[in-house]
Amino acid sequence: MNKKDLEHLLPLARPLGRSGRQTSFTQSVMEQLRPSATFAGLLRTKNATKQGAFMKLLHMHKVAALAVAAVTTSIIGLTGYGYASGNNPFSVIKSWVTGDSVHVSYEGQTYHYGKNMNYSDAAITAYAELNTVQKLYSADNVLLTVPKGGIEYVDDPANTAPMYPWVGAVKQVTNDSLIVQKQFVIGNLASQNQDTDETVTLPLGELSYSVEGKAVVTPNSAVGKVVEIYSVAYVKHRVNSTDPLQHVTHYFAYQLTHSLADIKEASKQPLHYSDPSAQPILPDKAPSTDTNLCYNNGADTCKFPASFNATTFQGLYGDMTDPTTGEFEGSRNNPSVVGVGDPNGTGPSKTSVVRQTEGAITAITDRNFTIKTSSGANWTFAYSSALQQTFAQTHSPLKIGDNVFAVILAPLTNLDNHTIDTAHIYQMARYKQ
Amino acid sequence: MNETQVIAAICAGDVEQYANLVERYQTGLIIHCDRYLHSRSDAEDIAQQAFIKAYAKLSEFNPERAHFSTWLYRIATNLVIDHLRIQKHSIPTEDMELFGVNDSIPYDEVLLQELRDTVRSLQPPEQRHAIEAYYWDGKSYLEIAENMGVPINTIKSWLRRGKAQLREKLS
Repeated sequence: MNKKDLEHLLPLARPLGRSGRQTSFTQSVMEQLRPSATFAGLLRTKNATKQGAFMKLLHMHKVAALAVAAVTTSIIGLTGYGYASGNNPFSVIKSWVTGDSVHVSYEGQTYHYGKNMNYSDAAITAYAELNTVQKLYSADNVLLTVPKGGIEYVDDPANTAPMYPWVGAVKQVTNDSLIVQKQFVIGNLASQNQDTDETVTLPLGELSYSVEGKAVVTPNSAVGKVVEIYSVAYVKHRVNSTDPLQHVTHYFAYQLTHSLADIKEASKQPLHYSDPSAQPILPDKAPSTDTNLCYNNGADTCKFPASFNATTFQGLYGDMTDPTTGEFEGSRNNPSVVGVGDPNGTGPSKTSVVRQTEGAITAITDRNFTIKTSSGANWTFAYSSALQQTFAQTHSPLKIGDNVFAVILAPLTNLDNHTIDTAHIYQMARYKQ
Repeated sequence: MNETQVIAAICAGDVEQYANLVERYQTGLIIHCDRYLHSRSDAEDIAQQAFIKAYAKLSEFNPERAHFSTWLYRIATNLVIDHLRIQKHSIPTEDMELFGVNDSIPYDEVLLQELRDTVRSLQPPEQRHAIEAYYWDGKSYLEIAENMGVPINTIKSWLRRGKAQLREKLS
């Protein structure tokens, strides 16, 4: 290893959780980001005063691609995740001790903890359990967006504040609520763990309760159990109805097999231990696997291509290439829509959600085209003959049977609308797998 | 989540995920800036600016073409050069060559774990503590010297010898 590589790699080798000034540095950066987080929010329609910003957005094509990548990679799906099928996820966590070392194996991976480490065995398996629960939550969180009984959940754009999971003991189960003594908030790199003591009442109507990885009706036997609670803000609406929207917080409760003390020890920052050789390298919380559910459109599946190149992904509003190399960089977004990153913006929209859909074209006119999605729904997108001709100058013409992917801005007040005008289409592309 | 997924999540609106990138790269970036600036506090300021600028331009980052770290270091380097121009300092080209961004370093968790283990095996322990404090805790030479009760030059010496040991053990 040469000198240059070593200089680069040494900081990256910093053990997870070991931090000196890092926490304050990170907080300082994050505090400066949050007020100007417009680019990470939602989109707005263009107006005349935003021309400068609009021009910049010609370079924002990758936002949509990344948003889609986020959708397709950050959310856990059904494939490759056997736990959701009803097996006891915690039964697969194995731990054993050899000499002074402790080993944990789960999900096909084995972690080893140091000779002098001072975590208890129970804390280590508790860590594995927390990871497993996080995966369960990631899956459940996405599955909730699949419409059931005519009810659909989509992300609440008016409430994007992070909600950290917490742990507590169930005090009571009533006809309509679960009452939990909240005792410990599990932080992350940006938020420290903290003890707390608060009685929280969770409405059963917005609660998904799981025991050993399986969704169950909240049992009376839950009283006294330790549970980990995740929560997410959603907008809830009845499909094809004019019922008023509901802004709700949905709770996911996972009954744990470890004690609160074990959970707290597992969540303890290694920084608290004085002997560096005793610091275990706790793994990152388990990564998610892909889903094929469309983002904020759980009724449909999206098979977005795994790789972007000029062959697999052809933007219906044009492509971007590197001016020096000619290399394909992605697709332009719809220039009629001002998107994320607008430096002159007033902030993310609180009234629209980004939705994703895709399907095969079933009809084309000189004003629009229609696709049929996996659920059988028809979506019609404005796409003028002029745009069609422009697209055909660099690609084969759009035709029936082509697969098209679309990211739209759906006003919360019109979530049932499947006829999308040009002001609400953020990006579209023809794709091949 | 891997880095690409983290970046995708940020672009999709999960701003808090950016803290993961800041945590991961801040120490290295501060050291990188300090090489040019010879001022830890200036280096921290520039590193912060680099993170904020990178965030604002994240939509322009193409993960298929470069590592995020490469891109981030380039932003920081440009900021450092601007800073030095304003300060009318000469730009240390030798340092730029040495500490320029290397996009080709293949690193994965196995390699990093090997490096961690090797750091922890360094003898004498003073060298190990100096490496850990400087590269992992983000402390300046002065802070380490004060903590360990030795002159700054001794810390520099321990760091130099510690890194020589690491290169030898990892070669």
